[in-house]
Amino acid sequence: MLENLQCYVVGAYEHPTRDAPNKSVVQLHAECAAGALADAGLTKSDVDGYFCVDDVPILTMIDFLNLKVRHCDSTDTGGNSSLLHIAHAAQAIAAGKCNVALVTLAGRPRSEQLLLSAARPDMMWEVPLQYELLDIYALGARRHMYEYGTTSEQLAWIKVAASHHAQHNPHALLRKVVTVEDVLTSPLVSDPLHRLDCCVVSDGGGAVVVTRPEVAKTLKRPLVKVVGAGEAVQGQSAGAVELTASAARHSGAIAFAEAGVRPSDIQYASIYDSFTITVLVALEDLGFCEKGQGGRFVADGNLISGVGRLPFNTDGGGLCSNHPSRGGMTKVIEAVRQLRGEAHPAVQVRGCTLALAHGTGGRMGTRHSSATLILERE
Amino acid sequence: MNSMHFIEQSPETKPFWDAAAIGRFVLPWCRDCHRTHWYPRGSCPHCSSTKIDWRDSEGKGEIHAFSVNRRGRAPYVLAYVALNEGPIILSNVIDADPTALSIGRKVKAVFKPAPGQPPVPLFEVR
Ligand SMILES: [Zn+2]
Repeated sequence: MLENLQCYVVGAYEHPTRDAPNKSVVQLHAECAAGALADAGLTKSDVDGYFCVDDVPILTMIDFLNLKVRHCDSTDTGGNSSLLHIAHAAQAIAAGKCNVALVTLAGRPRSEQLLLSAARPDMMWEVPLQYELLDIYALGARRHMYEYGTTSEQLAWIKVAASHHAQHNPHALLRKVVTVEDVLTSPLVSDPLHRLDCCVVSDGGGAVVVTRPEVAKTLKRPLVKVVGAGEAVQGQSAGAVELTASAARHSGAIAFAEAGVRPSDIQYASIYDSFTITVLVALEDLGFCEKGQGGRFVADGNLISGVGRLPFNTDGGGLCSNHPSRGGMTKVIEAVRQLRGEAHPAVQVRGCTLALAHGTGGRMGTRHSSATLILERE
Repeated sequence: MNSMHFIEQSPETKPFWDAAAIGRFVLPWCRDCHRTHWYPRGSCPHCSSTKIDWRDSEGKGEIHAFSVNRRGRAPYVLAYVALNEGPIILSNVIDADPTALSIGRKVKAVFKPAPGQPPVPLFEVR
């Protein structure tokens, strides 16, 4: 990363709730904000930059939290937005637009119905179709199986690995260790995806605080530096649809180049896991294995901490722990825990100094965003 | 997507809806770069030209990918269909035995909209 783009994640907090029928979304934001600031050893009055998606209008959020900011950004690229917000916060800090950036995320998909906004030229053609979100990801899985011989057993290993980690997370929604057999015998909800190929639906949220070196070095927390950030977008390309490759090809390449490291240097990876196929495609596109080899890469526990080559989602991820509509925030938080040595001892990667957090937002298969962060413990 | 509301059609795509209303499947073709695209727009996503002609398509293509949703009472098939003209379009394969489908199966466009829905092209096995 360019010298002048240095910044640090100094505070991180994941809300422990997974079911919040009696809390509003803004309340979850506020509790997450307070948690991350306390973790950093900062207060609300230190914050001069604020980032969140516009689920609640950002002006409402800023006023609700009673922040006095001189920079804000509500970029919405779907579930990975928090990763972009951290990258954009780093850029804003480097440009002198703010010193202490607060990024919050909250959602209540368990407790409230999500509404789709109208006036969308793409949805004009999709609303009349019979489909659910998971069907889109099932298309990608089907095509990957067709082109590369990927199997349901291989996809199941991704869930198995997540469940091995989730058993140690007291807040995880699903703590039971599952087997490949369990995944394959779960209902075939959208063939070829099984119920256990899908992430949980949970209420919750999280927040992080990002700041410049001068501030970070006055705080008592371990120094977790943002050393690389990349983002990219992929759509249907006017009809030239690609189902087995994502924008992670580009976001990953940018982040790795900026950090000056290679995939083989990464000791821990948080990979967005809305579905098992989302993980498999991202691992290939990020360069952890060749395109088409993802199935072989994830099999036999290769993603299980202490067992495989690439420990992933050691909090249990979206597949087992938490997915409050948007799963990008928890990806960053678990990466920060790993780099601080604050992950659960059973899943902590020994001497973890280089981690990756990657998010896929929107819908891989129609329109999606990829965002990659590389974080280093100093 | 049963919970979603009907979304207003844009004036630029009126030629498509007018043709569909009388059972014709038309594709937008650019008069400047001579390419077609999907989903239809009033300006060409390849070259930005606003000179769009709407030409009849046979609606023939093959299944590029498909999924079979079995969560509800009746299974349904979401698919990407690769049209012979090139674009790969998101649609449903209807009136088919889901267990008999495969990538590469030949399909043909039909207009059989669900009640209250606009006539987007759906596909049957041919
Ligand atoms: Zn053109």
